[in-house]
Amino acid sequence: MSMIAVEEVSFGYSREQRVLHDVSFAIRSGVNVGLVGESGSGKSTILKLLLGLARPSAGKIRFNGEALEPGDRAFMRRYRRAVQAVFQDPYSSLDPRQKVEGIVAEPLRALGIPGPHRPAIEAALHDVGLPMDSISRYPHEFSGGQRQRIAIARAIVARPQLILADEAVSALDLSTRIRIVELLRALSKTMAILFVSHDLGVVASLCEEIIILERGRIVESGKTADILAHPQHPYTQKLLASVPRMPV
Amino acid sequence: MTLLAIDGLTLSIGDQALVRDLSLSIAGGERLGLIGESGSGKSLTALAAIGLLPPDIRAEGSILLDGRQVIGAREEDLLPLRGAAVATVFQEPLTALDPLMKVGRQVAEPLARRYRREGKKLDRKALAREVRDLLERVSLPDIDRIVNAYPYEISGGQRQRIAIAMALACRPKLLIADEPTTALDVTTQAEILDLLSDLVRENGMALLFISHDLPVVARVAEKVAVLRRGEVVEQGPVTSVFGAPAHEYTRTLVSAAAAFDKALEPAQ
Repeated sequence: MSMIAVEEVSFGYSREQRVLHDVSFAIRSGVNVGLVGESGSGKSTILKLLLGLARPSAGKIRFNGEALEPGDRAFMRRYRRAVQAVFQDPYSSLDPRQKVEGIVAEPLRALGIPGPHRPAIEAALHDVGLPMDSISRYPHEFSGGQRQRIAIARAIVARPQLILADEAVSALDLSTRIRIVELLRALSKTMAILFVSHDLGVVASLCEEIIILERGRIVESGKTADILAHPQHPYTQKLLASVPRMPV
Repeated sequence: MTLLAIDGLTLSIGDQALVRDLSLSIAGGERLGLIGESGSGKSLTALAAIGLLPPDIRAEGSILLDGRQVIGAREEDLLPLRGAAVATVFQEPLTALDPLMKVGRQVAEPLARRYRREGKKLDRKALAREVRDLLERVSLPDIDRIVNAYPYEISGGQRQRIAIAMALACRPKLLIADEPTTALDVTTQAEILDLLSDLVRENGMALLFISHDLPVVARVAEKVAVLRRGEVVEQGPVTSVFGAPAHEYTRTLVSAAAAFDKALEPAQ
């Protein structure tokens, strides 16, 4: 059974204008999925639905077979424990007034997980490669890449089954980006990642499966290796041809 | 002839140096990529080259733009250089355009200025025709609509085409493009890069292309300088710098870019 099943989901902010049309896909445990599309393709809307911040206009999202019901508090508590998010901008996604300890502990507090929290926080910082003395420092004392590590530590502290990563490396410099991608790849041995990005190279290096979105529709999906070798849809072909490559 | 010669440029704020002893040169028709990560000083170097540094930044060294010293020059001596010697395309086309002016008029402005510079006069009809010609040259569709549109009414890629049209209207000897495709989607980026390359070649313009993205630079430039924390660590032809990087920092960047590239290659 899939961990997440998105079943014929449509969504519109108004009745006339749909931004998602009949989107279906599944996320199985332990398999990283890349969701690729350009601006306006609907990637952020899909994330919003998966986070329970909006409800589909039609269709259903299931988590381990159960329908995602943002109003059901008991369900949402289980769901949030299993599904955590990392966002694009490490400068705006961390509370500047809290020390790293408080920031990373947030999900534990919010989920009502009994303490002491310190061991879980230290384990999460260790997993993302941050020194232990980070715990008593503030976000502004860290570089962009380190801040993204803090955000990842927060996402994994409650040991979720799935991380929703929204352009999580796009704001980072190249030399930092490759290290964060390596970190995510190492972490994905114990959890799945839905990696939403416009950057095909990053997605290809991290995800076994890929979904290509264009204007609210899935135009192609499947194993990353197959799609890279034989892109079927003209849009996928155009996307692949557009990625600038290093000279050989 | 050397169009831009930067020699021993140091930029500092207070006692902190942001760019240190930077030297590079661009000859007429040459295309140089300036590569650096955030905070490396690449945009600051571009601003220094056109004499637009913020007032609290101190510049030492020499910048010769089309034979004239930029450092220490008075604003009125720099004005004739802007447009004639150099024009700039910035990263974010939405903030580079006037939100309250129709894009046709925005393109007409530098165009009329160039004609005045060349001592020619253009009536309104001829000016309108020239604007449409320019919009055609940057491959904008539906020109009747776009001429009368405000910046918010057109897409990001179309806005960047307008910014390029405005730069072309000046007929500069050197075009500076500061991360011109970073804010754009990848398919749009490919189109804009092709357009820039074609236009620069057709018009014999020199190009200073600033970017953090190695493959993007490789697509438009023939020479490259790698900037790290305000210092040029390596420069030379794109093929040799990317093919056999000498400095460790360049090697890190090249191998990272190559890793993402390789992930896109279908497995054999």
